[in-house]
Amino acid sequence: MEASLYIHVPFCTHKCAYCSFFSVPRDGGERSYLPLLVRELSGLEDLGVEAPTLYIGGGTPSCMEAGFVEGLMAAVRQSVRLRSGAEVTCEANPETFTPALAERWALAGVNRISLGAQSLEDGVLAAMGRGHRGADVPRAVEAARKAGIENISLDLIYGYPGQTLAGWEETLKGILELDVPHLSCYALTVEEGTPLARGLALGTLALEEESQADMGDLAVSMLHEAGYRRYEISNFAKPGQESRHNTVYWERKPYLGIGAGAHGYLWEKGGWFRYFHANDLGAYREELETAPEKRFPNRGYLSRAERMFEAVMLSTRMARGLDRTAFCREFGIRVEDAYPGVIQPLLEGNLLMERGEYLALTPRGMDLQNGILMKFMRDC
Amino acid sequence: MARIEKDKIRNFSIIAHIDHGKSTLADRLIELTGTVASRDMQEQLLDNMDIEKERGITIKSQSVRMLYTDENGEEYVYNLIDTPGHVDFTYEVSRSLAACEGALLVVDASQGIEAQTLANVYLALDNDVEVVPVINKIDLPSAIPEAVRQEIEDEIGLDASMAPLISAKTGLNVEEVLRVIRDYIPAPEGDDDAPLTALIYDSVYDNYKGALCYVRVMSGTISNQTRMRMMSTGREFDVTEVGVFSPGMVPVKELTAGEVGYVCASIKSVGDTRVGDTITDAVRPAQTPLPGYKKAVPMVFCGIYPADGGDYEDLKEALYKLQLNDASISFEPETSVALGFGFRCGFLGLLHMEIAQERLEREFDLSIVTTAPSVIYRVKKTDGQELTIDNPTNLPNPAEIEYMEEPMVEATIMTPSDYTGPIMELCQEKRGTFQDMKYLEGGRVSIHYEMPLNEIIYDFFDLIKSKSRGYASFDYELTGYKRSDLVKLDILLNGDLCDAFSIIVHRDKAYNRGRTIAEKLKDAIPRQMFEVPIQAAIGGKIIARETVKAMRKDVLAKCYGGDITRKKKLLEKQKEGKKRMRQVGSVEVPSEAFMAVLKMD
Repeated sequence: MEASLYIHVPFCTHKCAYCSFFSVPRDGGERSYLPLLVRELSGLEDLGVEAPTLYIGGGTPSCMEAGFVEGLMAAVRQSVRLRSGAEVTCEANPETFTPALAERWALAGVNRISLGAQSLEDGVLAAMGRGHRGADVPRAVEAARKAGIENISLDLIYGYPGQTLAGWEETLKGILELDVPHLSCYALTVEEGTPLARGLALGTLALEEESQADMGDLAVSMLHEAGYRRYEISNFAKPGQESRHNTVYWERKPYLGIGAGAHGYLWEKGGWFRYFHANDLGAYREELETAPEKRFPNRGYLSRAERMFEAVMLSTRMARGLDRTAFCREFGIRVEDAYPGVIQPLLEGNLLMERGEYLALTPRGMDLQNGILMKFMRDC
Repeated sequence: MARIEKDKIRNFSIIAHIDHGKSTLADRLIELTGTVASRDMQEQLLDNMDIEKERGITIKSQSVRMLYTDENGEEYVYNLIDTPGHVDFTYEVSRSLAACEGALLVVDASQGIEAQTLANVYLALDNDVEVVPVINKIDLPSAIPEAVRQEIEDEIGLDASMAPLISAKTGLNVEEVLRVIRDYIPAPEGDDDAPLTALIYDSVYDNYKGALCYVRVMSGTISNQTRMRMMSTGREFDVTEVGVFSPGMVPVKELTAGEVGYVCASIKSVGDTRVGDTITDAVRPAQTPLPGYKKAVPMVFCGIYPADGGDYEDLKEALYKLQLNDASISFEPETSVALGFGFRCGFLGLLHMEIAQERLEREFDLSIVTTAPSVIYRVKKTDGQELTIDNPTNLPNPAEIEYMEEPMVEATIMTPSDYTGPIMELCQEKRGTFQDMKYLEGGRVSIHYEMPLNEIIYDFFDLIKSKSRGYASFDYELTGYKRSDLVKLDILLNGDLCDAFSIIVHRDKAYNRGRTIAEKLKDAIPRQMFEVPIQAAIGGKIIARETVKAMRKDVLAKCYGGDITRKKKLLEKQKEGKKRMRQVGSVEVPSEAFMAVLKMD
């Protein structure tokens, strides 16, 4: 069967102030993690998986012991057939991504790097609790290129407390000089339980909604000017350089989630389901010890209505939008009839637009997707 | 138990200003007479409701029977009927007084007599109730008991020479209060063998026993053998139980003339136990009923709606239950374009309204939306028709209105003279007409204004308090209706009229009110996907405009390593938050916004 792979590596040297992702301190426990992944991967052999993309995310895969990714890639190849030309992405932090590591990863088959740059301003990076300085970012990009990995993506965050529009502009200018093929620009999301959320609640930090929106607009125009296409709400790419792996999520294609805290989406006889592994190393180990037929734990089967909503929610994140023909083919109903009275007002309100068979959010609609999705949600 | 001798019974209530220590004194009397074992004592025993305890006010009359053994070994039955102190609840006071021969007037030794106390004292004297002063809080360093004693004699003309000087808080001299009750409050009269007349001074609903009547027997005897008849309706019931309050309900064999207690007769509806009615014996009825009370008339009205439209039935049920225990609340269904189905509710005053809203939220666990309070206006139409309007939405087109009248009150404000100026300015500003002003003992002033009721139903009481650092007190009495230049002020959101915000105001005030409401709404309405103009209008004329800017960013930035479920949960949470929003045309208005405009600065 065809399925992409997501492998979660939940270790970090420290936790950033805004992060609520599942991660644990790198305290020696990471050494016993590879055997667990190998165990999970080897349990998949009988499925005959063909993977068009593989994404190793975290956490911080670059903070693991030097041979980790090589070992992992070997285990992947043992259990899964990676399609020729498969996109193999690995996440890295600028401070731990050394030229030597880049060499090893490239040799192991990694052909795309996603770097957590976030900003080039040292003050902002310090406030975020990042472990690197602005100058580490070009060094890491250089390391990847030296190793032959040209397909590089940089993650950026804007709207952080204390960040200014002028500072953000400087960051964008510096990033554009690096001329990487792919950029993700994330508006800061405040997650419950993070030091950031506590600071905001205490009033020691403050968000400025207007200025965050200004930063978003600035990014859209500067990146457009520089030849990047906003192909998804937060993602920008040079033509043909879009992230194939993330597109799998947005197009609702199947993927396996491997590792503690990883999520997957698959089809079996019972229908489409989403599943996830426990957010805890001990519990993850226990899950692996259960019978192989229970290998996709914590399943939630999706009803037709849920799948329809997901189709809208995920496809409209992309600039291309929702393929009405495909929707009708999959669900046996036109999207206009599935959500009566919803689409026309959005078209009239210039939040949604028609492009042939596709229904896509306008640039303004992209900034207001949540409110738009509410209109597609049932009242119950 | 043998019948109690009439001369061993004392029926009394306590009159006091808020904070002067009425409930504390009641507690001490209950404790001293051993009515409740001290281990069962809790502070402010008679204030049952949480709201009463928290705010330190009494809302609902309570009764308790105490046994007092005096220094000669003689045993007396004391029936205390506790009464609310706030002006909104004057009707409760007058009912309680009609069931008593006497009243203790509790005066704070450091503050002296307050306006509301006076009102209730006159109420008592009008009812031929013997008033016995008690000077409380003499333990306070600022206490000037002798000056207060003098003030009572000068201001009210009561003999205060025997007034006990006490501290209800510490218990000092409270024994003395028990003695003056015996010596100065008359024993009840009445013939146990005459035809039964019992005055219903209150009624409550008990889930197990049905509607209960709190009664004062004036003549005759009532027992669980009695076939009783309500004299106003003629409806008859078999009495199943009679009893006294000590302080819980304790059944007794019978209640005879002069006694206070409850009567239970499996009555299904409180509507059948009209307060002020007379109960008589169906077999040997009395010829004439006792003089009743004036029915309490609601003066302040507002719309109450469920915050979640799906809770309409729950709200209806809650209002019905609330009314069972507080017959002065009125409600009838109404519909608002903005708020959907709800009720127009009538209250005796602002505090009464606030308390009812609070009880709905707390005792019935409901989230409600309240519209701006209104009074009853009289409208004379050009075709000669006369209307009364308690909901601004129902006001006819201005072209059809010949003239309008609004209710006026006589407002009495008592204040330390330092604050006279600011308070008079406030009254002027609220369209008051100065009547007179009297300087009293101890640097106090009594100020009288004639004022429109609609000016005092919002925030007048709070303003009086803030302008006098809490020292001034305020009382009002409805005096009648006056012609006035009134207009309907409407609020439009994105061009659509939002009826729940409409108010009737004096033309001179309309501009300021419109501007203030628009400003408040601008802060209370969250940004939407489009720009929302807020307009205040009189007739078709826009008098104020504000704008809620369009929201710029409302999107989940990240996709969390393929964790789509989490994304959906976040959306669901956001959607849940929208449930507290009301759709007004194309605009989503949070429930809180409807409250926000009520608070005027």
